[in-house]
This record gives sequence, C-alpha cells and structure tokens, in this order.
Amino acid sequence: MKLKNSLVAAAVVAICGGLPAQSWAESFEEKFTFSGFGTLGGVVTDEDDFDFRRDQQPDGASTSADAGVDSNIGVQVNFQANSWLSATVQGLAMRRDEHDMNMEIEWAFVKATPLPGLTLRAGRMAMPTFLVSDSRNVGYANTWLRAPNEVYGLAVVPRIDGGDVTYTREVGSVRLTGTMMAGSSEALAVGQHFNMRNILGGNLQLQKDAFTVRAGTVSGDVTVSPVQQDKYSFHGVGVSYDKGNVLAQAEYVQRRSSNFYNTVSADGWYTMGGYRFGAFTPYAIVAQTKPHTSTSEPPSPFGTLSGKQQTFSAGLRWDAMSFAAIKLQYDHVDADGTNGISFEQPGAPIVPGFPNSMFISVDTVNVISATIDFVF
Amino acid sequence: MKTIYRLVLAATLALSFGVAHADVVVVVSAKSPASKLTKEQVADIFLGRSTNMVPLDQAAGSPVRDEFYSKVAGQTAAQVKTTWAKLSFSGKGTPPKALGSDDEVKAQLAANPNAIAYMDKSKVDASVKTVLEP
Repeated sequence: MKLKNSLVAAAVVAICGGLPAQSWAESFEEKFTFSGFGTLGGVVTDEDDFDFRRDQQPDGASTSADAGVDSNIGVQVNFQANSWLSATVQGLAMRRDEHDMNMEIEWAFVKATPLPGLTLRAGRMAMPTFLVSDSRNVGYANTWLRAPNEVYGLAVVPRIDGGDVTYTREVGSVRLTGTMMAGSSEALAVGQHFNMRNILGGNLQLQKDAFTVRAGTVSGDVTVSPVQQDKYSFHGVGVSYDKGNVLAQAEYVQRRSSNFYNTVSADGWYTMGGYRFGAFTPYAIVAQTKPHTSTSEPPSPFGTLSGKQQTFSAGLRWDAMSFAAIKLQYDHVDADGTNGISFEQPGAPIVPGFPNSMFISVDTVNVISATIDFVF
Repeated sequence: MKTIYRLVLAATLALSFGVAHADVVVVVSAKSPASKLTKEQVADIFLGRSTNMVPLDQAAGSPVRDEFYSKVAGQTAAQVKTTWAKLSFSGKGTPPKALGSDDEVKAQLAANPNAIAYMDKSKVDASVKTVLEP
C-alpha cells in the first residue's frame, strides 16, 4: 500500500514537472481546485446499555449524546493537467474503528481519459460496493442524514488500492456505464485488520432520464492467519429515481464468506422515498438486515458478525443556506434480541479478542440525530 | 370595487414583471460547429453527465443562472449544488467555472469553440450563436 501511495505521488509530480515553467505559473490557479465538505452532528438515544454507532465505530451515542457518530471533515485537491489527465487527493477525518477522528488519505488517484467515454484510474479509490459508495461520507450530497447501516454497514472493505477501467456509451436514450477493477486492500472485521489481495470487481450502470439502475459484485482473498485464507464477496443491486420533486431509492446487498459462511454471510436492503417542498425535503426509509445461514456449512463458533435489525426512519433535509443543509432524523431500530448491526457495548470485552458487538442482545431503540452538512 | 381593481392591477403588473424578467438562451461561439442542441443534451453537459463540451456558468445566485437550471434541468440551485458535490467529491468531475459577467462569458466562448454557456436573450450579439431557447 505504501508503494502504491508513492506511485501516485510520483505520478502527480511527473504531471506537474512535465509542464513548461511559464504556463505552469500562468495556469497554476486554473489547474488546481481545492474544495471540502463536512458534517457537524449529534445523536442521542433512549438506550443506556448499548451505544448506537455506524459501520465499525467502537463507541457512539446512548442516553448521553455523542457528536462522533456522524461528524466528519474532508478536503480535496484536484489537479487538471490537461483535457485528458487529472489527479485527485482526498483526506477525510472521521471516527472509523477508533474513538478519535483520524485524518486518512481516502483517495489518491490519477485519472486518464484517452478516448471519449473511456476512463482509466490508478491509485487509491472508494470500493464501488454501493449505489452511493463514493459520496456516502459527503452528507451534503445525500438526502438522508446517514446511509442505512443495515446495508452500508455490511461492507467491511471501504477502499481499494489498484486500478479501474470505466467505459460509458450511449445506446439510444440509455447511458450504459461499465467498470472493472482490480487491486488490494484491508478488510476490517471482528475488530481486526486483515490483508486482502486479488480483489476483482465489476459493475454495470444504466441511466435513462431520471432512472438509474446499478448492479455490482466484488470479491477478494482475505488472509485470516498465516495458514488460513478466506474468500470474501459482496454483491448488490440498486435503483434510484430523481425527477422534479420526487426522489426514491432502493438497494439490496449480499455479504458472503467461503470459510466462515455462517459467521459473516448476511443480506440487507432498504427503500427510501422523499418529496421536495422548496427548500424542505421530508423523507422516510425502511431498512432491514439479517444473517444468511446455510445448514451445509459449519456452524459459527463465535456468533454472527452482525445480527437481525430493522429500522424505520423519518427525516427532514432543509437546504437552509447556499452552502449548507440542516437535517433531522428519527430512527426506530429493532434488533429483535440479536446483536443487530448498529450497536456496540464499550468497555471490557465479553469474549477476549472479539468486539462486544458480536455478543450483545438488543431489542428496540429510538434514536434522534441532527446534523449540519456543508461544502466549501 | 376599487380594491378589486387595485388587486387586478397589482396582479397584472406582477405577472408581466414575472414574464419580462429574463429570457435565457443557450449559446456557443459563432465559430463553433455546434448548431442545435436539445434540453437533455444541455442538461447532461451542465450536470457532468456528458463531457463533450466545456460548460461555463454565470455567477452563483444570479437570476439568469437560476432560470437556466430550472428551465433546462428542472432543478433548483440547491439541487444543482448537491449534484456537483456528489460528482466532485467522488473525483468524477469539477463544477463549471462561474463567470462574473456576460462580457466574460463572451470572451471565454470566443477563446474556446468547444465551450457552451447561457445568457439573457437581450445580451446575444454576433460573437455568439444560439443553440437552444428553452
């Protein structure tokens, strides 16, 4: 991974150094774009015993409010060398698998468009698992306050170091976009980081007028221990509609593992609808996840990575200012006595070596969240 | 009766003012090979779905800009900004450059035959060519 970062850096320097000094000085400002985004948020629940969190955060909100679940800040520099070559670096600080917000290089890639419709990228990129994989952390870019954890929380590999090829073609009034990618990364599961190699993925997107349909799959080899390998895969389909005042979106995903089938495998889906009344967009989301089990596979020796969970959410996005949106969201979460997916119990481990989120038992929890999402 | 006349007069004035305030047209350089474009084609170019031409924006918050996006794409300023936040923070593109005046727009169009812009119909002169009257 270090090597790939240096390759990206070298490529950026090469692009910059290759320009004649004079035009460099003249067009410096035109070629660089600096931008950023962020979210300032607070969450509170009616549950004392467990923390409500997103993804694999080690702690979150309970009856005492928490600002770390949704708050983040990202900065991005884009360098457009010429009409077909550019470089993008994005740094993002948020609570990941540690309590503190750490700034990490989320993406650093060089992008080339050698022919119309053909795009090649190399470097670090978002893992294209979902309908909104690459802008899920940009609160301002989304209607909802946070992506439904029942679906977006299932992914254990947020980014990939490698390359991808995208080809876009218009067939009549339908825009078809196909992407193939390969690379390596790190998977984060059961509180540990695992090396992941031979990642291969592909997705196909169809867009016609206000409709977008997307299907994708990605898999990779996980090194669980020096002697044990696993194969991880993730498949998903999504559809979105956005026209005039109406917006709707739905996704269905599957997470699978070869050697730990009954620990890791899970399915998730959500459906969202919203309506714009000028600057106000009320919306509602129903989301569900449950473990996927198979009797032909060995039983899990240590519970399931995520349990059953269903959430009903109602929220409001208010485009209050030209650069910021204010959001409020209420979630009614029901984990049906399982460990769910949005909960963790901070403190001493119940089973040494594993996160407590695998062994807790949660019923219903009500959650209230508020954020200000901004771009600059 | 008098009140009703006043109301009708006020309404008529408001309506005529509303119609007269702007008539946005989409333009390219007079030297551009482009001739006629559809609303969908123009919306694709300005919302980052097509990279066939280089879009130029007017100043954020200007009435001509708001009218352009409303007529061509059916989107409010906030929706357009959300779309570009999605694209730019996923490295898929950068928003069109916003120019401060019609003169600047005309100068940029003259310098780049592949550029496309919009302006009030009354500002159109021989240096530009209208490709769409939405």
